[in-house]
Amino acid sequence: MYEGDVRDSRCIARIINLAYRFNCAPTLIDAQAAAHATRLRIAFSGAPDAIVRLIAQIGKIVADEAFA
Amino acid sequence: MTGAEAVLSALEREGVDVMFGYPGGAIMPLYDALYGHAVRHVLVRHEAAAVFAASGYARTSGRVGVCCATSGPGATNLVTGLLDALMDSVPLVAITGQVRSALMGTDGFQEADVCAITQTATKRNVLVRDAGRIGDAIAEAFALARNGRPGPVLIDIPSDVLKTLVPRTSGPRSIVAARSGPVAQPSAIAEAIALLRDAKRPVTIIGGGVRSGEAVHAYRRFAELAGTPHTATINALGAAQAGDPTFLGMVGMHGTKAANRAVQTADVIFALGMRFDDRVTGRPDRFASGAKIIHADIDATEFDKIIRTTVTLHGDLDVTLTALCTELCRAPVPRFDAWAEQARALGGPLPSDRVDGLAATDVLDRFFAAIPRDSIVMTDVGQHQMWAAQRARPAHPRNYATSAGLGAMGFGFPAAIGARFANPEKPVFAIVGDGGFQMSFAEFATLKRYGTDVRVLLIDNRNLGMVRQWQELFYDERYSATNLSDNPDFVAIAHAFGVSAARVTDTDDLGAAMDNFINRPGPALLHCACYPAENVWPMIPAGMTPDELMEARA
Repeated sequence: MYEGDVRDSRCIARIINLAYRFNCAPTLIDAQAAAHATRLRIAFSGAPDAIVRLIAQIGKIVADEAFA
Repeated sequence: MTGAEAVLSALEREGVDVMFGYPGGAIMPLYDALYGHAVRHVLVRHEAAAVFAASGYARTSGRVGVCCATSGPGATNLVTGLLDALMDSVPLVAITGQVRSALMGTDGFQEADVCAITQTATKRNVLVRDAGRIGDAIAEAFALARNGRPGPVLIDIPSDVLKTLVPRTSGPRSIVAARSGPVAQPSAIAEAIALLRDAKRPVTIIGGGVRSGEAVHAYRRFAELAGTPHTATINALGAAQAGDPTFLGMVGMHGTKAANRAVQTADVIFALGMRFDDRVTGRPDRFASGAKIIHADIDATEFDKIIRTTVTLHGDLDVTLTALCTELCRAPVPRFDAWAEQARALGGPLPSDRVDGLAATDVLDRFFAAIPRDSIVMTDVGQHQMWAAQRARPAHPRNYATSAGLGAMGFGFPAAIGARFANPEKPVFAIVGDGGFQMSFAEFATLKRYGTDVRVLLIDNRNLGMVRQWQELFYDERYSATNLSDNPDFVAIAHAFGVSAARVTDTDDLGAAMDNFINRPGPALLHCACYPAENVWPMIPAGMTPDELMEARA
């Protein structure tokens, strides 16, 4: 499960695409838009080590996306 | 001022002296603002060349490379170069025009959702709909391109936003001061040194992080203090001190026997600013299987991605190496001279095929022996890329670059043009093959227009040589779509663009032709008509280990 805020909700699409490259698939996608960010909860099925790497990559995407 | 003028003001604030691009409808307001402006624009002949030139500029200078293109096809032509920059950690900012806001989403003329298309080819992209945001967006883009692990950022601006009037401001809001990066924990540094102290056969592998992290000085100091045999990935050629006897050459698929065998024999590996690419590891489950791995990188997602590490050093590589050096000065480790000597003995001279005609390897041996020490060399992708990497001894990693991670043909020539704009005082060479050169030779027009002194060394074996080599070795000599025996007359092409050119077909003529090519100033082509079936050796086939290394045929 990844849980965090994203400034630009387009990066949710990027995360979902990335999951498939790791041979994972989203099992839960919950995005709640607020004034300046979107609260994202997303869970995946897949090999445990792939999910670990995927979550790490998501952290990088979200950090770059929020960079200001 | 207009949004377009705000773009140029922001670029000036970032110290941009040159941008590479190609105009078109949606980005016309920016080109109108460029007319007579201090920011120099270099017109290339294809947008792909713009982004590769920006990449060559960035790779050889350490500054952020800048390119621009119009909407739709202009923007999509940037995609390969953006991904190349992402793979090789090159800081770029690309600015694309977008159709006017009212047309977006209507399949307008030259409309493409470039932000969606480049989402996985950039660190971040942004569509700027508010002209008042342009200054901040560009400042953020430059800061992000440089921050942490460098990479490309794209800014897409609709044409009406480029025309919108915005208040003239002195600068962006207070963002984007330089960030301090992560720093490896002292306990991890101590653990790494402890592993080195107990090691019998340690090996260091240096990667492209030494270039992007400006860590060459610290790395050379570390190599001296640690005393381990060391090797480099293709992006780190030039990191080792010239003449360092413990340097074993390049590692990986076409690396030296000594480097690959030493890595495979090692009991401890310092992996510094490298990412265990499959062209380095071959078969990960058997890569250096007896070694404990100490992995230093600024990007935490690289840890345990391919190879399990014993110690991770997460941080800026220069800072990490400096900390390691401090520790090594405080408590020196035993010398590994005997092991270094043994590692060197695992290798031998580079093997080469017997050829009937001009050998590409002879051409490159002579080239690298003759070029000035401060030369900058950019290569394209294919056999010549590997032969060159085996022979190059650049003074610094910023003096040598190639499309390493992505392997994008067509990179070398425009990248050399960008390198020359960044380094007008240094000799700049492009080594290209006949395949990749035919993707980029329109840039002769750029050389001619700007009088850019780039020399192009064309290794023409009338084949897509690397694919041909694999077809020979792994596809039963079924040479499908790799024969280029109907190549054009490259010398005539150069002459048509007004660029001087010569051809060499015989080994006996090579010396004089090469001397003339290297020493006579001005843009030039040396067309080397080489034997078509020379292969790159040694070779570790994909997915295999150094134990299965292949050498030249008898």
